[in-house]
Amino acid sequence: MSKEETQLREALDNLRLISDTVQRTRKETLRCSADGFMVWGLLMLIGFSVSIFLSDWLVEVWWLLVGMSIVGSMALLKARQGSSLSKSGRWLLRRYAIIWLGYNVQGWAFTLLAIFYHAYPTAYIPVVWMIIIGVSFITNGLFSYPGLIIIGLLYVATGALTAIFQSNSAAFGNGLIIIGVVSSVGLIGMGLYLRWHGRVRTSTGLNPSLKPSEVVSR
Amino acid sequence: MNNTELDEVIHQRARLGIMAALIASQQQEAEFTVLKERVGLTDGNLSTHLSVLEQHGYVSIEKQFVARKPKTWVHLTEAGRVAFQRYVASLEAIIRPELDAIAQAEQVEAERNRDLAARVAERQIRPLVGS
Repeated sequence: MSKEETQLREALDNLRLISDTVQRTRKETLRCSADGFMVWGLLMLIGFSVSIFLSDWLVEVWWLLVGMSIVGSMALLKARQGSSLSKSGRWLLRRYAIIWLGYNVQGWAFTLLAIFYHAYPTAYIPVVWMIIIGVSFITNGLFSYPGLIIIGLLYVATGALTAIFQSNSAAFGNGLIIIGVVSSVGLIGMGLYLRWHGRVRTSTGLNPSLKPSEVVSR
Repeated sequence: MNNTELDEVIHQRARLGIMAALIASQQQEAEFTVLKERVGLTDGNLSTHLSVLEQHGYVSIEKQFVARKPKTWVHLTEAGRVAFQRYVASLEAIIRPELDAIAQAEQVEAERNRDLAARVAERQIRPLVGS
């Protein structure tokens, strides 16, 4: 075998190795993200379903647990794909944690006001939180899975509608339940879609079917 | 370095696997045990190859303690990304003439088939036209 032939064979073998490794890594990342969305969606679905049957303060306890579980499950899933301690992973989880903490503190404050002072604050504060959560989903969607943008828009739209009809607390409650169920089902659906149709753009914005040169020339 | 000259540091298969796994990972970084599973190397082997890559500035290694357990993170550096990009370009430059030759041969074959099909069709139509 001539030197050129050996070089050519090595080049082909190495390109195959790169392609296989890249695809394997991408599929793994995709599977972890899909599982993450499904766990997240299921927790939200359970949360919203239980909220309907519980009294005010129990709902807040429940939501605190759901929020913590979401952050915990995302941390676990991040750990599974080997990026639990990455700077961006930490930033993302911290952001989720802050949003959930803020949402729950607001909920507790409202509950305490209602119990001790029989005062019911304006519905504009939950609206602000709905919009914060919505914007968080949208920004995540812009950088990762476009499906999250739709869920974010649903939150923002519900927040805006609540602001318009804020005098009607029943409408706010119903809107919250609808948005919760829709976004939970949306998250589960997105997880299932990613599981079944793995050849989609990953959170790094790359397609697993790309050629090695396309992979690195982003 | 010319277009077909290969970077010997990356050309070694184990190191190439490490570089490919890192470039495909989110944020182009991976934890030591995860990387070990992805490239199928032993602890010792992976450490040795990572040291070589680190010496050449292609990766950076960060050691942390999480819940009192040591965790090692491997990050692909900008120099590593550029070197990998250049390496892939070199591989493509090596196979490009072969691919071009195959494409050219396929084109010649397709033209020959078209020509043959046209001649067969002509031979089948001529008697009909003649009658």
